Amino acid sequence: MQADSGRFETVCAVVAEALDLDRAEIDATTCSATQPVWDSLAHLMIINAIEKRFEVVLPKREAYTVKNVGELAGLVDRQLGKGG
Amino acid sequence: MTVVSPVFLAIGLLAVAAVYLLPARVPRDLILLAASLGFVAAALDPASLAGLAAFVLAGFALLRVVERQRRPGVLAAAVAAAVALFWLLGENDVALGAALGLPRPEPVVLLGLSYVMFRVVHLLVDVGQGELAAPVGLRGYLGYLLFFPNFLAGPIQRYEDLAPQLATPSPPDRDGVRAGLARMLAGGFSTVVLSGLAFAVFRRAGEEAALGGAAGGLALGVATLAFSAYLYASFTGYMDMAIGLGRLLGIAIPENFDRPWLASNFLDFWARWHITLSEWFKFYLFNPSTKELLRAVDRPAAAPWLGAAGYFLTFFVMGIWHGTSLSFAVYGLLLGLGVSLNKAWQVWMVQRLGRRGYNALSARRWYAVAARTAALSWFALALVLVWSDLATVSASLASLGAAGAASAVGLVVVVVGCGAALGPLAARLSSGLGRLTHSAGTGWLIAVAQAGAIAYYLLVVRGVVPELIYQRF
Repeated sequence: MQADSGRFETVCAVVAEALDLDRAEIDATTCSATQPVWDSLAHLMIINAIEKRFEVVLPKREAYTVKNVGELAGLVDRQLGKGG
Repeated sequence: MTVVSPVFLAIGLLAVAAVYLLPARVPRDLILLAASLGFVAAALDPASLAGLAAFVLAGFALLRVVERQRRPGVLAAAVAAAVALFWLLGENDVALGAALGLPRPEPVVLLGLSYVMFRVVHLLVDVGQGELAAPVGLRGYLGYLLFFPNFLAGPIQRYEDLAPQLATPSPPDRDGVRAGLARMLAGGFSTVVLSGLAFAVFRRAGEEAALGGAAGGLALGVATLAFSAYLYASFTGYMDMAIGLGRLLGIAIPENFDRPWLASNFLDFWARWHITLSEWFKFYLFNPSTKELLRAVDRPAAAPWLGAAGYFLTFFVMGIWHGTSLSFAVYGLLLGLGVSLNKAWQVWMVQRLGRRGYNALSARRWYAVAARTAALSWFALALVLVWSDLATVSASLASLGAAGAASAVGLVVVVVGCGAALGPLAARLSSGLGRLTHSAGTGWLIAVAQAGAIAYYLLVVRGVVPELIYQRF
């Protein structure tokens, strides 16, 4: 699923801030394999920051298992589409 | 009971034949459930069987409760009840059993209960939180919980991954059959020959370690290394057998190991060793507890330290899952200390060098070898509390003296360090061997060599085939 472009930008910005990286280093394929700093703890920090920024509660299993920024943005889109 | 025992192999082959040959109208999940029930009945003694039946039925009753009662607290109470029953049936040691007046001075269920408990908790949580779309019926529940290739020591496959495959397995083509058989043979070689040889060295070195002094210290070091080798060969061999058999049955079983000897640090080690157990603990303990800690404190500067606390809690619990004794509590403390020190070191280095500086340091070969050596040595030394106990270790250290203890630790670190330096070369050799195994030209040669080695070990050497200790946790 293609994420809304405005939301995708926001997701990238939130991920960059949580990982302490430049925005330019983040794209849809960014994941733990491309950014070693994205470990289990960083993943939880990202999920918490996304939930706070979008005022949404992400379903646990999907939130814990998203593999990259593109999947995360798609999950945010789906959840906001459901009304959070 | 091992995965190379005649009972396991016979039930496996019968199940494969039944899945292939019986008419399509016979449900495949029923065939596999019958095979699983047959295996469990053959593997367990009557007391274990009764205990397992009680746990499985109680788990199903709890599942029905969490499906129907979505009130706060019900799920937590159901999980607590399942874990408490598991503790009572599977974890009580002599002291606990005597304190409770239990008739057997040992766990009631002797095989496989931990892994059944992990699956039950997974179902309770996912059903209770509405994460599983379809309701879980008794037939699917039993088929999932008792699936015989995964029964003794995992992997802990997720319900939504395994259940559809049990209902409609995808029989492999000719290449798939060949790959499944090759994987089982490799597993048999590892379980019988490699683990048997390492176990023999472990036992002999353990006896020599009792002599004390510097020579005893070196023997203790050899025993520590040999036990790690035995455990790795035994567990990966078991996994090869399970995954290969799964392939013949048309069922994909997840990998549980990813070359742990290539781990870049202690945290990375747990993404490569007993992967499905690490994932289970991450999913059901680390993630919820640490996420709530982060949310409650909500201070970015504190996040890494809260993470270190979450890692400590998770690995401490993982340690005491092995047993209720003080030895396993100390084992858990060592695991927890290892991961939290690893995280604290990363945080400190990033603060000191900056992220790019730390990444540059991590990429240096000497640093990578040192970090890998520290992680693998720490794990091998912590494992001493799995094969021995705290009182025996304390007595051994007293008898060995400081010099003997230092030579034991020194030998472990030096040998592991040499292995760590050669790790990337070993990875290339291992992948080359893997390609040869899959090649039609050389695959059969390797298969004949493995079969010959197994036959020689069993018939000529008459070597011992050690049991995988994880199936008794």
